[in-house]
Amino acid sequence: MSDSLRRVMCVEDDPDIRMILEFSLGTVGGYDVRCCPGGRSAVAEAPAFRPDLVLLDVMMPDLSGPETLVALRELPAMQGVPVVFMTAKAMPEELEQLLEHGATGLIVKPFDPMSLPQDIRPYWEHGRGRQAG
Amino acid sequence: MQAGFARLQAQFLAGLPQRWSDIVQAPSGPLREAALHRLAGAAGSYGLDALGEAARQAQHSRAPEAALAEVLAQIQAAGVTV
Repeated sequence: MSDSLRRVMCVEDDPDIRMILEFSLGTVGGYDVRCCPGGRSAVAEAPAFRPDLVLLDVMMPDLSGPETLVALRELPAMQGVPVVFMTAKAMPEELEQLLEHGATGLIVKPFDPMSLPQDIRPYWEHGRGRQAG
Repeated sequence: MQAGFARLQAQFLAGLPQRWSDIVQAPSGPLREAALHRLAGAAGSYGLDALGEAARQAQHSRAPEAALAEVLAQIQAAGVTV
């Protein structure tokens, strides 16, 4: 895990949300952003991109978010990299179930594109703390 | 930065007629719920909170016709003709 949060991978099937994620995290936040339209492409691209953090949609047609998380965790390059689910689900019990899949945290959609770059930082710091501990 | 956001918002608005078409042409059930779920997740991030909330309500509504009418009303309130 790198010493700073630079590279963020976003996995999202909706093209409009991918577009606003690139604007938010790239233009507003200044991160190096890689947006993938599905779990399979994320698993294929993660080893070369080496993200510092992954934002992962939950409901996707090819691999679901939880299935993608399992596949990412099997990659040596992705051990310990924080993965944060993005979801439009709002029921507390649904959110708790998602965290049981081993994600670092949750961001509920819709998100504010102006504040998202800062909102993800605590999850990266949490992941870095776990690595150090 | 604001100009960039406004440009993206205009693109999103331009795509709303297609989203609405996807919603009403999908058979009721999982496919329609998925289309509403995607709209609920996206609209608020483009500053269209009322539309996102209407889509969320419609996704879970037991009175789908009225809920869809509210989604349509919010699309039109955003200045989009469908």
